[in-house]
Amino acid sequence: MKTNRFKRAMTAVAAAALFFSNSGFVLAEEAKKPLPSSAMEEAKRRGLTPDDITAAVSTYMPSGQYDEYYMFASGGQSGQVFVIGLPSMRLLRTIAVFTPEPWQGYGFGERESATAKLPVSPDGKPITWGDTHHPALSETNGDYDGQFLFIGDKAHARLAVIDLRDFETKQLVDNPLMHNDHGAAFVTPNTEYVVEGSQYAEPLGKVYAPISQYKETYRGLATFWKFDRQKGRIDPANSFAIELPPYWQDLADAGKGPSEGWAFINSFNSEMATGGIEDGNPPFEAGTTERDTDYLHVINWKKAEELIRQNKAETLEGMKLITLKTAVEEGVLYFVAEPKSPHGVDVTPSGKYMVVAGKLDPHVTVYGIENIKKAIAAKDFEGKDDFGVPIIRFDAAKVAQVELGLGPLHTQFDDKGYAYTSLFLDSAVARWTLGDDKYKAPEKPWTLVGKTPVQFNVGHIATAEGDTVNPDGKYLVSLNKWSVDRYKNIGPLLPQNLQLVDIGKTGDSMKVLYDLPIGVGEPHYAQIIKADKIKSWEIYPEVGWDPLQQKKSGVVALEGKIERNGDRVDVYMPVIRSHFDPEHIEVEQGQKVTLHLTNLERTLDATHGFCITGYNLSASLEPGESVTLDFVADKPGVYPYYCLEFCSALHLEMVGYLLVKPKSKG
Amino acid sequence: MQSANKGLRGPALQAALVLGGLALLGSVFLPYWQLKITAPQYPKGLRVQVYLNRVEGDVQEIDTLNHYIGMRPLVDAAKLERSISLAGVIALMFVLLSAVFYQGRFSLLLLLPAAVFPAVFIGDLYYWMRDFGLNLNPHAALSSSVKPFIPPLFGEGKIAQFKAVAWFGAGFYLSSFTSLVSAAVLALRLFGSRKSR
Repeated sequence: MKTNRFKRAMTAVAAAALFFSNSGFVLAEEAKKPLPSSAMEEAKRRGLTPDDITAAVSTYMPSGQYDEYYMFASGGQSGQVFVIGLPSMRLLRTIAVFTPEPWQGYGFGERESATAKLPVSPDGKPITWGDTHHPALSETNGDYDGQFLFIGDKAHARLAVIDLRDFETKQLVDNPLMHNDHGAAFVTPNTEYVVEGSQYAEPLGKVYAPISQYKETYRGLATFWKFDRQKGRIDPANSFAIELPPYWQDLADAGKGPSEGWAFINSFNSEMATGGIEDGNPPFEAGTTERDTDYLHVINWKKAEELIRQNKAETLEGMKLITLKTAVEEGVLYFVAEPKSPHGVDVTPSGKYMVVAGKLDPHVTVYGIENIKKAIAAKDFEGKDDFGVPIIRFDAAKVAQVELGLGPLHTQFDDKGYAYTSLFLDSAVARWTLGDDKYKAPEKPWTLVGKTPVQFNVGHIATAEGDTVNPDGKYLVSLNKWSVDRYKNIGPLLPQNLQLVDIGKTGDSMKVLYDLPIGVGEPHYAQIIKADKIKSWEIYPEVGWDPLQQKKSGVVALEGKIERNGDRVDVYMPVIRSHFDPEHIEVEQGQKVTLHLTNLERTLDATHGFCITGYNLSASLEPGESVTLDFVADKPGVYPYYCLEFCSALHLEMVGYLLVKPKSKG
Repeated sequence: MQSANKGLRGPALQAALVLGGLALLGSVFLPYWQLKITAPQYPKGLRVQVYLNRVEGDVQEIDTLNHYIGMRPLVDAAKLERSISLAGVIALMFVLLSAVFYQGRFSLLLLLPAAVFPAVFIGDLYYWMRDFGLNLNPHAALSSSVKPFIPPLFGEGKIAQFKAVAWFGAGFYLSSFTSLVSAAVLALRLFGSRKSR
């Protein structure tokens, strides 16, 4: 009796599901059960299609369950990095990199912080933002190792090192030769070097030269920053740069496997246009696109490294520089024609091929490293450019061209033998087959398999571990520049739209699963890593940890005390729920105050914030962390200082007073 | 009489006493008492393990929480007992072992300390729990919402938003074994010999 009723109910639910989906639509393989009727009713009320429901159950993450992947997306002009979980597309963390950020206390009075060495603008003021473009995870044998993340700042030619043990920025290096970059960061297969390619040509060394001397004095640059993994720092003393012609170098990738030891950078403006729309000259947009082809730069960095060892480099502004002349003479630099104004150059998982996306050409052009090596050996050149750089014969280097659609920009790979290329103008992602690479797709090589519309104007794309020797496939994220009508309008500044695409099945089957609006900045590129590769700390290993040095600080405030020494006041302040010690700091106007704060907590999430009202100071003290803050007490008055994180029930009571006595007259 | 005494002196009981002594020594390395407290924001819970000579586990966090209700830090509890516990247990062991060789009338006194030791431990633990739980600082932040209380010695209890579970540890059970052995020998020596008389 009871069983019968149950059976009948189940049949009704199953019938409802069948009725709804027409196709006997079933949930993920585990289920084999129809959706509960309440879910079906809700889906019907909202007018969801079976595809919508699949997308929902593919991405929904129940509370307390963890994502399979982390995506590290640049934050564009926010100067940050966003950490996003996949497939839920939840924003898990923002990492402050080039821009002061109060939650992390980044850049607000910290003596020991990566921002302490910010470059200064010509007026002597520190530069307090950045334009993060391309994140690069550290690699071991061509695979992400989950230890470090690098990212470039296009607006100031800087590079940042982020340690993934605590997801914090440890170092900013400033390129002494250029003001801007673009192809940064890209790492060599064992993170020997972090590559930074310039964008807009400038006189090297940050000096003046009239634009009429563009060809003679303006130059491009490829900088190979040496990474010291042990120290977790870029080592500028052992880094070097290669002078390039004043074409505008764009994206870059490092070779791997058979192409290990080589770096590839594409370029535009091989016309060396200098603009001047105001004088009736062709504007840059026309001048830089006059020729049909630009040059893919093929750089033998192992050879360049050798030249450095042989002292064949000059030194400019402290940076070892291989001149263009030396680079040509020693066989470090070669060119191959590429369709004009391309965007990405991406090395396939096997390392055999380089894919250049045409941007203004509907094809991707595929070059073979063996072809290139053979052509170089045989001096199979079609000429030299104005600077004497040999140009490898295009047909000798080319392996295939695949027509994909309008505006191909950037290519990523999977574990099924497919390549994916973003199509900016078509607003779509194309899936096409590689030939004779590490994985073999069912379709015939070098052909377009399918296209999936994305919304809208896709720039970069990222697939799971998609630029390594072992891509995971599964997910692709389309980083769309325009969201147009995807969200209810929130004023004229629209969010970027990051879309998760299911690429798990072969053939023409890609489907958009989820839209993530980003209303903070414009992510350019992202890398996606399996979450379990990252071994991050829950709390700092010891009380008194200095996160910049990643070791115990020399000054640990275990007991509250104030030391006065002439004009200097040192305050040692342990921090624990729910009090600061001391709670009164009395100083004289004009005294130099140093606060040594230590969070004594050893409990997950027991973070305290610290700020002094009126003094532009903000710090984040994660469990175990020590922070040093310097300020001059130049404004007399009474300033409460308090905890910025709602740490406990007595959080509001976690407070103290800074009392700055006015300087006595006379 | 003779046979009964022979039995008492028999190798089995001697071995039991030696085993009891070793168990007592071994108990020093194991927790005697454990407490686990859980609350929504502590899904993994917080634990303390009380050994004879030390307290381990999430002591810092528990002290941090306790200061809100005005409880003294755990390190202030049973200072004397902890400081003499190792020497005491070793002495207790030797006293017990001497009962292996000396079986005279006063050997009962040698067996008694080990027999009552676990009870003494419980009594002392309860004394300190009571002392800590009932003597809360009246000026503490949560003094109005958490009134003086006695934490559970064994089983479940509730302290503010925390659910507490307490149980005895392996060390306690080892010493209880010693206690049983001592009590058994004691009983046999006491009543066994009387009966046969």
